[in-house]
Amino acid sequence: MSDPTARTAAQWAVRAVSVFNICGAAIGGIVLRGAPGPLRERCLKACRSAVESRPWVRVPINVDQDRLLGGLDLTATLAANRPVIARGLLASAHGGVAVLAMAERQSGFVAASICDVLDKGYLRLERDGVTAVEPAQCAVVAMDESRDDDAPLYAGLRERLALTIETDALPQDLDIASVASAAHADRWREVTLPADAIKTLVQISDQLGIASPRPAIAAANVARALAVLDGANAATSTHVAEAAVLTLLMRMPGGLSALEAPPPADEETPAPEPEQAPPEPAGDDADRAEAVEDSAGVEQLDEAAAAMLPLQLLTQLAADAQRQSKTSNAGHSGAQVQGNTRGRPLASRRGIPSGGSRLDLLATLKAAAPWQRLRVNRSGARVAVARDDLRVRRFKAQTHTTTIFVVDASGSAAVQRLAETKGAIELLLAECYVRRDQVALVAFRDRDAEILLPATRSLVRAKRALAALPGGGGTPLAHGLRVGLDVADAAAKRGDTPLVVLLTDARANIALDGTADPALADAHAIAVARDYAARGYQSLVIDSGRRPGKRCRTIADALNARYLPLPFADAGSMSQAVQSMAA
Amino acid sequence: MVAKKAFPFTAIVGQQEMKQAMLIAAVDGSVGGVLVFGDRGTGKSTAVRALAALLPKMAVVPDCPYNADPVTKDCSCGLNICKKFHRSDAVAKQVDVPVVDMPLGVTEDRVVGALDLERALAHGEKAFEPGLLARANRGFLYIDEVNLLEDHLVDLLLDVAASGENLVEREGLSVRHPAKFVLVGSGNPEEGELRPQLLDRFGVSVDVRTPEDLDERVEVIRRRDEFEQDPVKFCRRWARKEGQIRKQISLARERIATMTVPDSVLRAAAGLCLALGTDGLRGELTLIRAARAQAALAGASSVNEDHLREIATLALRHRLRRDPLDDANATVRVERAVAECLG
Repeated sequence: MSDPTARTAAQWAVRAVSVFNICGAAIGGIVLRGAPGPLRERCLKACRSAVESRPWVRVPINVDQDRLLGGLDLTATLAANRPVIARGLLASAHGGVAVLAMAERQSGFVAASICDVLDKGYLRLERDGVTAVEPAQCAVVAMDESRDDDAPLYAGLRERLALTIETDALPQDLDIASVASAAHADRWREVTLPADAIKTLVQISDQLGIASPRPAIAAANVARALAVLDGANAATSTHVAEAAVLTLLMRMPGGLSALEAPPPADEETPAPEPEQAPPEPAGDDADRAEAVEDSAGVEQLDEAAAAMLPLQLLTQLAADAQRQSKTSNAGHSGAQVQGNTRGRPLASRRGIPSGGSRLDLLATLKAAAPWQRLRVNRSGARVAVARDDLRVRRFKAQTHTTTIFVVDASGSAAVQRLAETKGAIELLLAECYVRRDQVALVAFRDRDAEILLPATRSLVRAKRALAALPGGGGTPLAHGLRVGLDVADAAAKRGDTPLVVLLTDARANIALDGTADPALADAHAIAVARDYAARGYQSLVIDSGRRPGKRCRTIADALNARYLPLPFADAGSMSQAVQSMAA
Repeated sequence: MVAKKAFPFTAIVGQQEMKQAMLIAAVDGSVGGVLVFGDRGTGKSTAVRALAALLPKMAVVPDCPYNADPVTKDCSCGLNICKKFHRSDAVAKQVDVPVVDMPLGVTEDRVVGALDLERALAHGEKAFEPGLLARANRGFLYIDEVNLLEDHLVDLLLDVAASGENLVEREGLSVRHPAKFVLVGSGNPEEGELRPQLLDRFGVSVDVRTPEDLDERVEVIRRRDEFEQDPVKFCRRWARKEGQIRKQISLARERIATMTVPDSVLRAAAGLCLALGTDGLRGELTLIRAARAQAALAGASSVNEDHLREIATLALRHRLRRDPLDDANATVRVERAVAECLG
């Protein structure tokens, strides 16, 4: 207990689950990050063991609003002749645990509803002609299967769930069955914290680049729960340090390995093994002392915490996390694939529900209601619904377009053209909310291509990505097209229509295998371009060469694209060209 | 049903601008809605929910579904409840100002009101059941995560908020009832931009950011932690401060009726809008109204340039025409114009 860093991943997992079982609802809950498998199942089972007879509710992927929040119960309503409410999953989880399968794939709506319930502790229902307020205080277990390049868990939900277990890092012989049960629940509320505990936790969150105060607030409660686990009435600075690891450090991808592995090798003086970290953080280690001086206020860091969390590692982690968040569009995955059951609802229409169309219950009942007096006498049923009363829901499905810019940022494409492209993209984005379109940006230069901006609607993010677009080097056209194709495929998979805008002078000189051979590079580029045509993606080639020529037209033909030579284009006319195509 | 107690408004650390905007809206609802846009975990929802507990109580006609004001007698609901009340010598009821939370997944029929399902089912009667808009009359309507609400609902809300009246023409029902409320919306820019048409319908807008000062952040968490440990005790400790603000709002509301706006201030406001190139007159109108509320809160008897300066960013920053090629953010641009026009 004296050295909190000496724990293995398995021991940390046991601690996390124990804390969850003590005060899960007060700290939001736990994220089980990793692929499905026996280890994750064992963690899940351990979380469940404390739930006992309380509710344990699974929220499946693609849960619809009626099921999640509740709504009108048709059968009961008809039987009782008055509106009867069907409880939703969130209300049924009251007092227990809601389990989110594939949490990262849940739609923004589901995630936001859960956040709302976590904040308020109750659920207000205003749907289909019924009104209700139901208590819904529950803890959440979110299973996050996202890999590096997937969209991560919805940020609002992530920051409300205090704990994390990285299940892939656990040993095969994990024994997690013997965790504390909820027997001493609520005692943790009385536990006192050391005077500087909150300051320490805030400092560590700052170091890790966690902007929201929510994780630090939860960490204070985690420290209290840890004290209860150890049978104490007051939390010590060790508990606070442990809470920082459980709630703050383990939240960062690969966070726990930072405690075990030695710091990066590029450090000249070998850093002390964290396991044997000296109690004084700013010792003789010069690099470390410098790092400490760099960040203001860090010298006040609680000793135990500072020893556990070498500053350079923290900076590294924060940078990694930022890089990760840059390549993803949080929480939006899965939200769009709902075909024509989404969009702007139109007035319900008389009709028989079948296949894609759903019964609009409320409208049906409303249609039937005025006739009840007359009909009931005739048929004997309590509520008589005739075929003529049936109404089906209609939606005006919106087609979303994702415009993917594949931009040549090589030396041969003048820097000035790059500025024009930036301007055009910003112009498009400024209007894209209105059209509900998304914009993505792929740039290729030197030897490789990069997704600078994953499909987004956010002007804030787009501006940041654009400002950082560099130029110069060779022209790896084939690389650029290949990455662009990936982005287009992803958009198509989401149900969006990809629209590719290639901006280049087509002077390809880097082949796919990296060799500087113009002939081979051309051949590769044409081969990749044919894949676009094969998939039927719409595309537009803007020839940015000073003298528009044959090479670019060849690529355009392979893409089956429209070809637009624009030797003196300005941002405005470029955005016009793209819009005319989207229309 | 045990709802969590609201965190006291006065105990919110920092976020002066957000608190100021809410107070202005509380003093003069005609300022228009409040849009709070910014980082996660900055107390956006907390502030709105705290407002309900803070506002002075208001008098209503008992049982009127639209919270009609017993003094002005202007309930246009056409129900007999109000008429009966005014004929009798019944006493008005004091209630909390409604702060209606727009739940996620709300359906349109519950927002505008619709056929009363219960009466339709049980008696086959056609009757109107008021929705959220009725409940929010004379109060606040809060939408968390504006970006997640369906577009057509947002449009509808803005329309009603601007006209102050909800008109229902559906299912053979034809109902018109007052719906004067202050719309408060919150959201996160990372989730996507709001349409410009929508932005400029809000009266004032606030940009909230995570505090960068360490001590401030520590204080945020310390208070939150204390509150969670014992909400009742925490609220009792802040009761006096809450009382002071409540009084400040009441006084400001009285004062605003007699508030004078000198010509020089009107000219300065017009000059400011001209310099920023805001479209239409909505900007100027909001600017003057917000300055008036600000002056009333400060205890002044007439508006001066300082009041204008204090609220200029709130009232104008979301009305600038976006120039995608100009990277300066709106706040900076307004501040620049204020410095030029008001010295």
